[in-house]
Parts: sequence; C-alpha cells; structure tokens
Amino acid sequence: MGKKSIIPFGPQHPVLPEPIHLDLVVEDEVVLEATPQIGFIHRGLERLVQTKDYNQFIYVAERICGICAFGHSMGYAETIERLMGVEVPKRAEYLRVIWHELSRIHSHILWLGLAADAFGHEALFMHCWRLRERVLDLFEKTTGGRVIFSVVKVGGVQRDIDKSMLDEFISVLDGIKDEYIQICNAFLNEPSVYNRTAGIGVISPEDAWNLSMVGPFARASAVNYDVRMLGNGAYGDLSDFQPILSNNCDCYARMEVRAAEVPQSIDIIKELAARIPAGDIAVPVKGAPDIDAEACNVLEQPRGECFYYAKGNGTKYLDRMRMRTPTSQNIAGMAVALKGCDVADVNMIVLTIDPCISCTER
Amino acid sequence: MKFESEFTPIALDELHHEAAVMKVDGWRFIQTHAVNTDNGIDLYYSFMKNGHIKNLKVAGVTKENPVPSITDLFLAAFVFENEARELFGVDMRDIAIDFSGALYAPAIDEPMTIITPEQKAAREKARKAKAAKEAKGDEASAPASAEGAPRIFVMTPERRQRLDAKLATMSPEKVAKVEAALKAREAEAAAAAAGAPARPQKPLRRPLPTLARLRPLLWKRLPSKPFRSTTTSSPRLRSSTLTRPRRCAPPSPPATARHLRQPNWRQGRRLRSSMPLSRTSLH
Amino acid sequence: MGYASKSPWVIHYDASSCNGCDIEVLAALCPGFDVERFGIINTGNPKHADIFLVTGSVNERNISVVKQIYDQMVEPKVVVACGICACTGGIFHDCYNVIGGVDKAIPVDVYAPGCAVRPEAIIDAVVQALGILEEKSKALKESKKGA
Repeated sequence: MGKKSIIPFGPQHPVLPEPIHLDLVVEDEVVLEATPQIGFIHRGLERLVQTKDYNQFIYVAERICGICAFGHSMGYAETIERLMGVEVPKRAEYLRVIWHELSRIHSHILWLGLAADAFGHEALFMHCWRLRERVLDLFEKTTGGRVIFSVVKVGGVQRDIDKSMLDEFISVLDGIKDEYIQICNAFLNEPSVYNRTAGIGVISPEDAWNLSMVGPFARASAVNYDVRMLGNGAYGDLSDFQPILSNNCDCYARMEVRAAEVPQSIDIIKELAARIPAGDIAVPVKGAPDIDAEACNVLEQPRGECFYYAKGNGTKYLDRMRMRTPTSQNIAGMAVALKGCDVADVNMIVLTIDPCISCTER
Repeated sequence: MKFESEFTPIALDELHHEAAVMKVDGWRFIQTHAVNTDNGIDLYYSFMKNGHIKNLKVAGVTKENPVPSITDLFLAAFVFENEARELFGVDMRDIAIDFSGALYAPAIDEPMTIITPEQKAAREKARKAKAAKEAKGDEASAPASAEGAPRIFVMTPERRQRLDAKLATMSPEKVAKVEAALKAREAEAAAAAAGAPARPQKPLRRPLPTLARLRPLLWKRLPSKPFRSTTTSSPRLRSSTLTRPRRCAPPSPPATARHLRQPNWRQGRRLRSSMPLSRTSLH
Repeated sequence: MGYASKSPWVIHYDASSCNGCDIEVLAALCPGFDVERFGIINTGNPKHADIFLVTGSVNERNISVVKQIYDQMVEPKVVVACGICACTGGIFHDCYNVIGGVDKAIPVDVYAPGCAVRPEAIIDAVVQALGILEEKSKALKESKKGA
C-alpha cells in the first residue's frame, strides 16, 4: 500500500496545446483517479447570437476552434438551411465536402504530429507538420486562409474551385500520399512506438457504447458509427463508404484508425472532384427564421460527431444556437481510460481522444 | 438523402423513465442542452438510433423544479448537466461527476438567461407582427370571392417617368432585365384580363424593422465587463485560486468498468511480445 | 548584438484561444517556416524563457494563470500578443467571460494581429521583440551598475 499524492497537470504544460487541468491522484506511479477541470477557454460565445445575426454568426462559429474551423462553419450553415428550408445547390454541397475532407486530412496529420511529440519523437512531429504545410497551401490557394477560411455562407459557399485547381488538389494529394505512408510506417510498424501505445488506455466496446463515445476514439473500440454513413449532403453521392473500425480498443488502435482515415479522405476527394456537377455555388437567403422554428443537424468532424441545434424567434437574430462538440462527449471516456494507468501514459491517453477543449467550452 | 429528426415534448416527471426506455431500446445518447424562454428553461435531450434523431423536450423548467440527472444511465451527460446548471441556473440533482459550479465559473451568474433590452424589443415586435398577420389571414379567408382577385400591376405615366429616371443610372444589363420583367408582367396582366389563370400572388415584401434601419446610429460597443460587482464578492476574487471540484463524492464508475483493470506494465510487456502486422492496408 | 537576443527561448501559452493562433505558433517552429534555425526553442519552463507568446482573449480563469507565468519568468522578458484576440479580444471582445486582450492582465510589448495570425507575422513580431529585449537587457545592466 503506497502513499497517495496528487499531481497537478496543466493548464500550462509543454505537451498541451490547450489549457486543461487534471488532478491526478497517484499511488506509486499508478493513477487512481483523474478528474478533469476545464473552464479555461470558456468565452461564452453562444450568447453572441443576441448581437450578431444569423449571417454574421457564421464567423463566430468558425472561430470556436481553429482546427475544426471549417467543420463548424459547414455544420452551422447546414443547420440554418434546415431551419429556414433552404435548398443548397449540388455544386456547393460537393465543394463543402471536398474542403471538409481536406480539413479532416489536415487535422489527422496535425494530430499524428502531436502524438509523436507526446511520446517524445520530435523529428516525426516535424515531418508531419512539414507535410501539413502542403495541405495548408491548398487551402490558401482556394480560400485565402490557412486556418480560418470564411468560405461557407448560409445558402452555399462564397468561392468556387475551378477544374484546374481541382486537378492540382489531386496531384498534390497524390504527392503527399507516398510520403504519408512512409510516416505511417514510422508510427505503426515501430517497436518503440508500439511499446508506448499498445495496451494503454483500453476501453472495451460495451463501455464505449455506454459512455456514448464518438469519432475515431469510439471506432477504435469497434463502435460502428460515423455520421458520413447517414449520407447527408454530398456524402450521399459516394459510391461506397465504410467507417474504419478496429477491435483493439487501445491507443495504438486509435492511432491506426486516424492514420487510415487519411487515405480514405483522399479517395473521397478524388471521387467527388471527378463527379462534381456544374452550377451555382450559392442561393440567396432572405428573411428570418420563423418564431419557434427548431432544427438540428449532425456532422462528422475529424474528432467525431458534432451536433448543432438552432431555434428562431422571428427576428434576424437566432433565439438559441447550440453546438455540441465531440470532445465534450468523449470526456467521460477519457476519465474512465485514465483510471489505473501509469503517470507516464497520462499525456498519451489525453492526446488520443484528440482533445479540442476550445470546442468543448466554446 | 437526409436524416430525420423530431422534437417530442414530455413532462419533467417522465424524463428519467423515458431516458431509461431509450437506453433499453438501444438509442445512443447525443447530448443535453437548455434553451432560455419566457416561460422558464426548456431542456432538450437528444438521442439517435439508425440515423433518426429524437429530441425529448421538457418545457418550462423553473428553479423550483429540481431535475433528475440521467448520468446514472448515460455518464456522458455529466458535462452538459453541469453546464446547464451553471449557465442557466437549472436545479440538477445527483449528477455523477458534480463540479458544484466550478466547471466554467463564468464572470456573471447564469449568463445565458440574460437577454439584452434591444433583443427583447425586437422579439416582441416579431411576435406582434406574426400575431397581426395571423389575424389578417383569418379575416381575409372569409370573403374569398371579393378579395381573391390577384393584384394587377398598371403602368401609369408617373410610374413610367420614375422608372426611366432610375434606369438612366443603371447598367445596360440591369436595364434589359427590368424591361424583360415588365414585359412579362404585362403579358400576364393581358392573359388574366383574357381569363387565363393568374400566377400565384407573391407575398408583400415585409417592411424593414425600425431597429434595422436605426442600427448604424444605435451601434455601440457593449461594455466589455457587464454586471461586474465591485463588492468583496467580486468574481475576480472568487476565482483567484483555481477552485477544484468536490472530492468527497468521487465518481463511481459504471459497474461494467470494474472489470477494466489496466494490465500493469510487467504484465503488459509479456502481452506485447509479438508485433502484429498492421491491420489496415494503406496502399 | 548582445547576448540576450541570441537564441531566445520561447514559452507559449493558450489563454482562451480557439487554437488557430496556437497551431500557427507551432507551425512557425516547424520546418515550414523554421525559426528553430535561429536557436529559438519552445520550452515549457517559464524560468528558461525569454519571450512569452500569448494567444487568446483571456477569460476569467486564465487571468491568474497568465499572471503566474509572467511572474515566474526571469528579467529581461518580453511579451508578444499573437492574434487579434490577444491584442484586443477579437470577435469575442463583448463576450461575458472575456476580459478583452492580454494587456488587461500583463504588460505587452509587441502586438501581432491576425485571425489566425500568420507565421510570417509571428516571426516579424519576434524579431521586434528581440530588439526590445536587447534594450531591456541594457537597461537592466545599467541599473545594476548604478546600484
């Protein structure tokens, strides 16, 4: 029976890109209990619906999180379109999905880099982020921004991608793919990485279902759910979409699932770019949502399923806008996974849920 | 192909029972949130099964009504229930992981229940406009034969003069568009006069609300620190040390998790003696 | 050029930011823009750092944290506010939980606006901060000589 002590972790820590505080109750290097304390990023932006109307709020929605920025703007726009019964042109839907899948690729490569930094492999972190710069160049060429794009509006998108640009997308992504597979070998076929990640932070499939986990975090525990299966928007036009699952339920499985989602996204972009229809990229949206009109929407962001709810009140300002992000759903899973692990594994487990605390706290 | 969603109102005392039924039926818990209304707080509990979203809505919850927590069924709800309590003032009972008001510790209490006066005025106005429209709709539906004839647009000389003055300032494409639209309307008017069915009447354009017209004059920066008290109970003093959640009631893990023992590192090393091949093919 | 501005070490903290500026700060350190070739390393220890890169409009809980990190840094030190949220509060300046900029919590030396701030702007800001660091270092030496 060893001595219990409490180690505070965060909010400022070199491995944490975001402030989160964990009190680790530790007994001889084994963590007994870890209660997360958040609240360092709560800006209270859901109340900004009172000062910004439904067209302006999309800029606020984008800035909930810099990594999932495009996902939030797309989800918000889709929710308002459902609320007001607006039908978006097909080309706009395809463009949105292409950018969203590119955003997913960028997010997963970013995460792989941070995971490498977490288990000490700094050179791999540098390689991943160097690869990510090529994806950010694509964003900059088509939207003008590297991180925050502001290219989606209620009713469609603001910019078009022409044929030559789409061909450039495909050639750049093909160029990335070879290097990416080499980097994945360094992650997945490397004994030192395997020793750090296999068998760590195991959450069984029943627990994953009971704790309502979402995203690659849940799919690594064999939960067969991916919002893209529901076929919303241009995802419904894909010839075949199967979510990537794994039965291993540990940190290594989560790394595998995220690593494998990148080639899947590249294939989705190629398929949609080949079949994109010509047409308008936006429809004008006039008027305001009805009083007591409600709508909800789900979207598969890189971190998991994101839920949006909007309520109108007859004015140009929304009554309520709610965004439930995947990390807030996964926090319960993280608290359970941290029980009984070693202190050295804490930051690895925290990172494998792909935490986006600014999304959780808004 | 889009998924379907529905909003089902239920009563507060049915909440826990309904959530238990959802769990047994295999619905997946999505989220919980609160909406501030004039009659209290509306709580929404969202579930999903087979691509169908069902939202259970508990309307009109006030501070006098304690709300039972569903964290005994769905542990993932603890974040949202703590948030509803802190930002909306909902009296949630028995949350499994209870932060006791220290989840966000915002600068003002129950911030989401505060609505600015301009917003209140705008909402009142919208409600009145809708009520007036509905009343008009009731009156107009009775004498349908007298008022049912569509409005016919007549181009008087004064109107034509005004239009010509405007067109002189516009670009040639716009001028062409306007002329085409006018011709189409005249053709329709002639057809209506000849007895052909008229096109469905476009609704009258709603006048801009006064607030929107005055917005540039009213636009002012809201004070950056509203409602901050200068007494000793100031939030800054309260939050000067990092407050920690109550530790006397640690979360008891769900029964299924008890079998989840982490293999200690020695046992783990033994398990990891052989390297598996990578299951996913990346080529 | 004195010793203070050769190979300055940087400490980065996200004070209620959306992460956009943070990933741009990290991107500045990565091979794409590579400030590490100048000897700039991202350290986690405030006592080892010369430059404090803050992002984000500071919220109630973060005021004490930001102040603590600033107080733990050793003189001479420079603070660079990265991103428009750190400069003035950005799009969130009228949110209830936001105090509206880092300069309401700690003194700031260089402001680098942008949403998200571009790595080129961060590098520019750091170069200006180096000039300020040099001046502060000289002033510190003078004051020590006088005493």
